[in-house]
Amino acid sequence: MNLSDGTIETKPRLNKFRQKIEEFRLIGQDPIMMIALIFSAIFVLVFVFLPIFRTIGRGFFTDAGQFDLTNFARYFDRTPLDGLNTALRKIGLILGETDNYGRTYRTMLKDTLIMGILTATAGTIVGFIFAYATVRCDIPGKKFVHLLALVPTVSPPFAVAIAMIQLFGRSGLISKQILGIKVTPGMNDIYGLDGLVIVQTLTFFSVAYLMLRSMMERLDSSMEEAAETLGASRFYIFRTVTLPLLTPGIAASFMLLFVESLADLGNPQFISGQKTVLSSQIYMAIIGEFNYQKASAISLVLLIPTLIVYIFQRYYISKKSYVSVTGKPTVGRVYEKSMVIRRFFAIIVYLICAFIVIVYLTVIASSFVKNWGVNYSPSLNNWEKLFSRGLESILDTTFLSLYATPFAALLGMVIAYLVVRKTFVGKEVLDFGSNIGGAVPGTIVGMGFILIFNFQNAWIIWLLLAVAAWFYVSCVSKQRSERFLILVPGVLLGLFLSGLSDGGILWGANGYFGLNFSKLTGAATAAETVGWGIGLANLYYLLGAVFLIVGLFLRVQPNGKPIGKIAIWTGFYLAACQLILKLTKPLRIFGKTNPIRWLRTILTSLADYLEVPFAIPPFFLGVCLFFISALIIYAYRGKFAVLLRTILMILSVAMLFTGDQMKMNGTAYIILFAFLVRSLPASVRSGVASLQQIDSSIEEASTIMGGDSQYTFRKVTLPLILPAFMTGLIFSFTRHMTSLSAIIFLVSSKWQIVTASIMSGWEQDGISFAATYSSVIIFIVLIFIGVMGFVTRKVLKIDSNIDINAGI
Amino acid sequence: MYLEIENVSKIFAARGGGKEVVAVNDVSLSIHKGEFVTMLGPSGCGKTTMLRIVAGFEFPTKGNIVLDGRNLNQVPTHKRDMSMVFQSYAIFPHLNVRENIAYGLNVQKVSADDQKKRIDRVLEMVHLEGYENRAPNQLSGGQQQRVALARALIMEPKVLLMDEPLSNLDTKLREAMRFEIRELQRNLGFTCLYVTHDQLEAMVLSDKALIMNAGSIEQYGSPREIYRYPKTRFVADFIGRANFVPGEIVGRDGDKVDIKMGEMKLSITDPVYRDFAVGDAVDVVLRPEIIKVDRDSGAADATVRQAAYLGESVEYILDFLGQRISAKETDPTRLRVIEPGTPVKLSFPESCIHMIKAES
Repeated sequence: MNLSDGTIETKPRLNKFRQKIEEFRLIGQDPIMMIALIFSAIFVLVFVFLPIFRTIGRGFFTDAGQFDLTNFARYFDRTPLDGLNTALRKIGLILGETDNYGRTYRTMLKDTLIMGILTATAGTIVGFIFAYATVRCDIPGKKFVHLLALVPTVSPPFAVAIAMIQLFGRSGLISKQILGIKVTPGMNDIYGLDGLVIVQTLTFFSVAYLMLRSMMERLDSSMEEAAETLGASRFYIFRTVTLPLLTPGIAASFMLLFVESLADLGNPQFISGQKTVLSSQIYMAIIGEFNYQKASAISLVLLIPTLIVYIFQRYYISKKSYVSVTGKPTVGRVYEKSMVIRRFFAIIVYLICAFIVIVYLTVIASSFVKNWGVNYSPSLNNWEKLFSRGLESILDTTFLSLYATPFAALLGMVIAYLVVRKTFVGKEVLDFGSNIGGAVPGTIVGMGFILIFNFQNAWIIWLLLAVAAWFYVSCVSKQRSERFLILVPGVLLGLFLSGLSDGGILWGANGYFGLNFSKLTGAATAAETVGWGIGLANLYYLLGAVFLIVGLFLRVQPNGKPIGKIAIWTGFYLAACQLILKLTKPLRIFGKTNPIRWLRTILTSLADYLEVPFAIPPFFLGVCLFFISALIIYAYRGKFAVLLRTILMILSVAMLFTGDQMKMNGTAYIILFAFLVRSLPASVRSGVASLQQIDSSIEEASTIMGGDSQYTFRKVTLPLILPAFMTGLIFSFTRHMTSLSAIIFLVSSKWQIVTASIMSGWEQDGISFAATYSSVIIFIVLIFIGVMGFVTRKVLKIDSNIDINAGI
Repeated sequence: MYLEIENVSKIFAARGGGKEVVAVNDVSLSIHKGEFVTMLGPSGCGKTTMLRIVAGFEFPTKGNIVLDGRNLNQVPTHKRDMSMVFQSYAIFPHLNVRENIAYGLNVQKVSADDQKKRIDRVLEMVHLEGYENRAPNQLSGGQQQRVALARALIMEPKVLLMDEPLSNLDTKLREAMRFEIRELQRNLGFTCLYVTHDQLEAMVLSDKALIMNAGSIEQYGSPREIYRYPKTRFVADFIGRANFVPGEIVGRDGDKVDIKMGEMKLSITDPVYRDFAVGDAVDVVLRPEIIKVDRDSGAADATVRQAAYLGESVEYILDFLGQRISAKETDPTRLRVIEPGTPVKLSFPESCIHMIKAES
């Protein structure tokens, strides 16, 4: 049969572009799926890519906005490339001083790379020993060892550094009290690169351990048995079978540790002594010099190795891997038979475990003594100080972490679902974007956040308007003329409405016509234009009222009841955004006048927390309103459909452009979004790992029986990936509580974060106070994990262990 | 026509250095209401992709699916009024038997009373009374299969799609289920599109069978048509077994066709060969079971190469006209093995011979 010839002749052509459009249309058949997709895309674009690009770009421009390569040129000072600097200076690309900077800059870069390589090597070796000992050697108490190895992942990023200083520092318990060593600064003390590498190894080896452990568990033991039947010796098998199979894992963990080490800000700040690494240099450039250009430029230098390693790891090693990452652990387990190796590994593991125990006991113990290093008598003075001064930051941190946690986990599951189950253009980008926010050094994200969200960036709002409006009209209407009828008045009237509050983007102080407009109309100063209009509060009431009316109207329509309900609740919510102030204001006044100090803190904080759910930044609320409006109206076919569609569009546009728009500095949301960006990768990855194990025909079965995507996700997918969801919750919360580098520039006097407080205050308050703070964080995280574990096992009745590996 | 598949093609774009794959190539098909159609072919022939296009899980690169006069291309899966039985059953592991079966009714918000009636009826149909509250992991493979079937049947779909639903069952159970499915379909009268690679299954179940190869239709017709009058060598070989012996048409008279096969002359009288002309080269299709092997009587000479006694039959491999052909003796009175090396005579009833045009 010569069919192949026939097929080539009559082979239908594939129109790639049309295919891609069809993919979108397939998702677009389901508005909720489309909303999930666009929402995720907007999140990744606005909160991940924009800040990172903004940080990178900022390094090339002076404060005045001139293109400038000064900070990069400094690396080439006094090198053969110095001539290039001179040339560039001549044509005006280098504006600042570069002479005499070269040596310092290069030393810092060199130290950073040495630190990264040493930490990655040491961490991978320790991680390998731990993994081999627990998986292959069956050492006694391996469960306990496993838990101990995880402790560093749930503690604040500098806990180990604090303990090391307290044990081996210049007046450390062991170095001074027990051994009586006289320290020569810079010579034989813990400060410096050596101490830093030890501290980082202890902090990060868990990552390598978890990664290698899951690989070893999934290593099919029949391959080693096959080698054994072929007459190979144990060591020969290890060298020729086991090790090559594990190589991708070892390489991956090395790279991951390298990245983590470079991004670490907490430990170097405490223990690097005379040495400075890039992350500290960035921190100092902002906190000490307010030099964003320098900070951004160094961020780029720091980002390059990180990014190379990350991309290499993600796209090369994952393809090279022979061990199926998603398979189940193999049943037959080969145990290491050589007693010598088993004992040797066991001893190393126990020693390190003992050290970890000592480290964390030191952290906790030092919070209960008067003055560690000087006076070891037991005392609660640190805790008293904590309750009087640190209570607010502890409450704030816990509240914000908790508040962001469900959103992080849910968004993670949604993105995982899209990435695993759907086909669409830009899927790779979404996947990459959801992961990169957690992989780049946190300082880069944090700095990008200040550079973007401290200002009103009108062009981003216009971009969001374009995306959201395109989605809205294509969702609610199929006819071109009707779309036009909705779009034009929707945008124009929406802009006008947004201007009603205080002038807005049109004729507000910073608006397009602002000053010019006021000059034209005779009002000479900007001050007079501000305050024009009905005020922000009234605008919220107005929008809420219109939603309420639309909702009531829909309720009396046939089939309009459920969608009317959504509109009514939206209306109530908008009104509540302002009404909540009527509740919190008296509460705050009552709180401030309360004589008991801790109660005073709690009450005023409570007032703040009550406002948070109702203080979503307008631009974000605007985008949400677009989606909610689309949901309300897309299925409505009754009377006045076009009018209602236009009205809802006007309201959404108005919200998008109203008030402070993107300006979020000093608010809770700038921290919340930073939390989300940082914790998203963990929940996405645990969701992806879990989804890949679920046969997609289970979801297809639901679809063909009439369940739309949203119904299927709620009734089938989510229950099946619940363990991953719980893992996502735990990881997110832990990540939020312990994050430092991303939020250190974002904290304000109203919203304080513990890790940032420790960082900025430990030199005045003493290291014992920092240890007290750290203990509190560890306790809160452990309590959360305990509660979630209980909920998982007892309430949700999930037998399967929460797969803690999935998030790594 | 009830369900129409019009010129459907599906091309999977090249992924990761691979080539584009033409999974379905210009397939057209018309199915009557209440018909049971199986799609049969080797793995990778596009039959499952075709089914998934009908279900709406894949979007056709070209062509339309029309159900009851309505073009389904812009209709999402969940609004297509179809249901499907999956190869893996796709039972929801977190729901019990009753909840699994009630799933589609819950989507449609069917009242509880009505639900109970329908569930009880469908449970009876698939003989699962008393298993309502079992969890899926407490069921055997056959029972899971029945749950999947019940879950699909209760929707009273316009079209029931089945993707190799029996392939994970053991042989005995599979044979029993074939007849059960056929009976259910006869009694309930639903339209069914059924994918399988098992030709026996297709024979038992279908009103019409569609033979696919490399994304294209090879033949569409009733099981008897396909077995008796395969249009291509592929079909003849895929459905049952076939020996192809080259021959030439040497004369015709109305419906009577004379063929020369080696030195042998045959004549077949059948209207299906009307478009064959004198001088055409043909492949004569000799099914092994029509060849009678005998030591003495027969029209053609052959030599036994190998022989095997199988209990219900004896299988031979013979040298015949310079090629190897297989023959199968099923007559219980003649199951004595003729030793290899023995020259034998062959005979075949001319009414059982089929021929196809030789493929160049």
